[in-house]
Amino acid sequence: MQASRASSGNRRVTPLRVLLVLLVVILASWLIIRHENVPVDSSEYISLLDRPIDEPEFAPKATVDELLLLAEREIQRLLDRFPNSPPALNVKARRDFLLSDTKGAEAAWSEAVRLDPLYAEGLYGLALLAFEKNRYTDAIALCEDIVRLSLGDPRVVLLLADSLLHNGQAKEAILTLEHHMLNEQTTVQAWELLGSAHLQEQDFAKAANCYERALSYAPKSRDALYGMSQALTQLGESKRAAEYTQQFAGLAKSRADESSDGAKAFVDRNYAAHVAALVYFDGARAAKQEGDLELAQSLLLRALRLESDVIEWLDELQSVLQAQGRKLDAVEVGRRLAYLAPTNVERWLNLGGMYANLEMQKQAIEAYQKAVELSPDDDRCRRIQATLKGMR
Amino acid sequence: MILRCRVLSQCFIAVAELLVCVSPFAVGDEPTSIRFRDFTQASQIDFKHSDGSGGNHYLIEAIASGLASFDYDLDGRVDIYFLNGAELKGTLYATPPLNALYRNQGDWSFVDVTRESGLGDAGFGLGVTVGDYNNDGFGDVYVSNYGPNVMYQNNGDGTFSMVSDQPALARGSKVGGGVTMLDIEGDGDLDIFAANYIQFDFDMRPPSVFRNQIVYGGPLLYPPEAGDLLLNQGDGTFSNISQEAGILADDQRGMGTICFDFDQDGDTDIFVANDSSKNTLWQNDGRGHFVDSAIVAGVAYDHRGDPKGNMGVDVADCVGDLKPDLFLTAYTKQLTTLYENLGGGFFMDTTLRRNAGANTFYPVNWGTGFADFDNDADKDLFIANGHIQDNMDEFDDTISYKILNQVLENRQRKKFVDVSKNCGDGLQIKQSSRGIAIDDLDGDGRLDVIVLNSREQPSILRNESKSMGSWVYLDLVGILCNRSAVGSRVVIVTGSRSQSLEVHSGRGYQSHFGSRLHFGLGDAARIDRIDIHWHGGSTETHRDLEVNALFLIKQGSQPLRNGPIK
Repeated sequence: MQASRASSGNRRVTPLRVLLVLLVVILASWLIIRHENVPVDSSEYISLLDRPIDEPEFAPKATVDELLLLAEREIQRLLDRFPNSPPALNVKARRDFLLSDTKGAEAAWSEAVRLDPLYAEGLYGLALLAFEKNRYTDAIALCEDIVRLSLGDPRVVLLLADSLLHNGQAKEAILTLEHHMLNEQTTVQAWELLGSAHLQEQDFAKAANCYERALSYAPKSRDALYGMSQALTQLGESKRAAEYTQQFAGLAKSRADESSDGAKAFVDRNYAAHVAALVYFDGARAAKQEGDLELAQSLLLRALRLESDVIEWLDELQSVLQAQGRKLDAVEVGRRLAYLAPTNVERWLNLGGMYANLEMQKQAIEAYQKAVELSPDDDRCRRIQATLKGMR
Repeated sequence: MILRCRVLSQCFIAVAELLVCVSPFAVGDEPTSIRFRDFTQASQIDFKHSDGSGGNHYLIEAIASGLASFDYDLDGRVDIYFLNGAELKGTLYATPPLNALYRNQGDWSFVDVTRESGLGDAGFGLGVTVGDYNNDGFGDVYVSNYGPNVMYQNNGDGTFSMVSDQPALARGSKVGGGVTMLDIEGDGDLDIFAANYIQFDFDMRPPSVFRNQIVYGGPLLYPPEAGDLLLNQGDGTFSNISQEAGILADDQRGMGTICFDFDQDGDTDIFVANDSSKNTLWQNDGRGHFVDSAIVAGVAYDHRGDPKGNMGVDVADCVGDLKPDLFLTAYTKQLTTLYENLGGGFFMDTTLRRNAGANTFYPVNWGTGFADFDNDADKDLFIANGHIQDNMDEFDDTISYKILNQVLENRQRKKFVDVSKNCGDGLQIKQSSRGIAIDDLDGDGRLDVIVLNSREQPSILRNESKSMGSWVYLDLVGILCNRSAVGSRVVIVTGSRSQSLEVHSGRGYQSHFGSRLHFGLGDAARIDRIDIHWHGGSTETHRDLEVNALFLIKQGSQPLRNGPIK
């Protein structure tokens, strides 16, 4: 009987216990998540990108001198924190280069390369300086050294080819670019440069082909439109040349207007803020390379506070947050990225993926739905569409 | 030169150590026989340029000024006319600056004849050209100012009279650029093209600030100003035909100008080097109507389709195909540009292939000119450098306000080489140079250089090059065409080598020089043939002429040996 009652009592109590346990688990989970992050839709949630920065000397409204001092302090902090670190030296070099202190930049990049002879950023910086100083042979040698590291950095091949062109070695530039295009990812700039090299060689048919390829990737490439008009003119195709010339002239006019507007809108303080922001961004990348994700995240937030909505920086921040396991903050940044590029299907797919990982089904569906709307023929979107139907 | 290392890391270290000790702007040190000696002090020229600056950093200060070299009194010696700035808002000079004329005494001394000549214009001088607009045999001077332009008519007795009764010549009150004379429609008298720079007013914009320093704001801050085309009506008067001639169809920020027959169709076209915008090539239909053909001709932009901050311009065949090529100077972080004439009215930017931009990336370059400094029968280049920002050193270590000028030597009409470092003390002068003029000041067959330096005394550079080839000078006098023979083209043949030159009025950076044509002839002992294509159509050929001589050639007459120049 007792057993029976007990058994009966157990039967009555068990669902309650289960419920209680569930409640405790949910509460605990909520607390854990709350501790780590905050829900996206909560009215209490302050976006990671808007949270105040707890540092007395960081003042977004600082003057030119204060901003440049801020950048200098940050560089010193990085160099102190990561002594003998090539990435930290790269931060200083890039700042110096930006401020036309080429001696400082050269010294910092040289030191970085002395510490790590295979440090590609340092070698690239030195190559860039050599290029600017008309020392194309040096630039070529440095670029070739980086190419041997097989890092697949398209900037290096472009600088190498451009240095060869400037050194009067158009044939070598052509070979370099063609080799790169066979083995690496092709870029519009590579096609443009190849067209330019063929123009230098007065091989107008090949130049036209290259520019045509560039235009297939980027129909509004000014370089390619101009080169195309030049090549076709020399090939005697004056009617087609005139069409390209007209397109180019329209774009050139717009660009001239933009340049003029840009010059008029120049504000000295904004330039200093840009320099400081770049130091924070470069510092974040250095910190990340040194494994200090917390510092990287903090510096990226500072960079974005000085210059908001820079896609590259937001991407980097998202990557750091994901590496830190701060998934909800990463989602927040992902949302910002999707907002900034609402027609970019990759952004919505990425956001959907992040929501799905967090099991935030409703938001995931919404994000995926956006991607499907933008690119219904994309294989990934088709698969997702099928999945979404199943989910509904 | 980097020694390539097999061991990668050693190579990297070697490279890094090598790079640290190199200063940002360095001129080339290739060997050369070209030598220039600084003869400024010996010349007794005491002119000092003023740009009107008083701390306000008005852009027009930074672009002053050009100069002219010409034989104003027909004594056979080339004289020098310097433009000067003037008081601007916020500046006051105890003695207002004036343009200055220096007469060449033939012994490397010059005497200031500004006062007696009447050429002491008090306007803010920017550009100048010389041409005989009234066909009386004496070169007249047209000055482009910030403010009204001025024509000074040469009276033939060592004096000039300001032509003050013609509003068309003043062309309102604008910021002038380069000026040129040309015979637009082949009627035998010289017309005028006056480039204009920007629309400017002292209170138009607040001072520009960069890195907490007041700096000169760039030209893009100001609206462009279209050029003016002035038609010589044959009776000594001019009318402004810019509208009907089509010149107003495109307004850019004009600086250096040069007129030449780019498509070799017999009429003279106008090229304008524009600052921070596309260049303009006004193609003449021979009847006084112009269309901008710069884009189609391939001279509007550089090889990547980018506009440059172009300043000065000169024209000559530098590759030996008898077609006139164009060379342009540009702003900092841009290379100078060589547009090679491919024929048929088309050009190609071959700067990289010809190395015509050697060491020109950092400096702002202004005055320029093609000239055969070593008489080896090809055209070298002189480039005047100097930044606009007088406080440059405080925020940029790549370049300074005062820097070295450059000489690019033409090697076998194939490639230019920067030989500046080995050109003697004349190329060791650090100034903020603007206009240059290239002419033979002592009649020794070697082309000398006069450099106008902003805010300072000019530099007078005597050509003392060794291992010289032979040479010849030609003074052309038009009879059926305009008297200055502007627009006439000469082809000179020595053995298997041919060279050509056109007579220009106005070239370089808002300057004028080279009315007397100079040909370096290399090892030639005789001139086989000279073909003169007079502007307007007639062609004359003269055979078997001496070298190392100056010939006066009047249209329709035999060459008259007119030397030695000394």
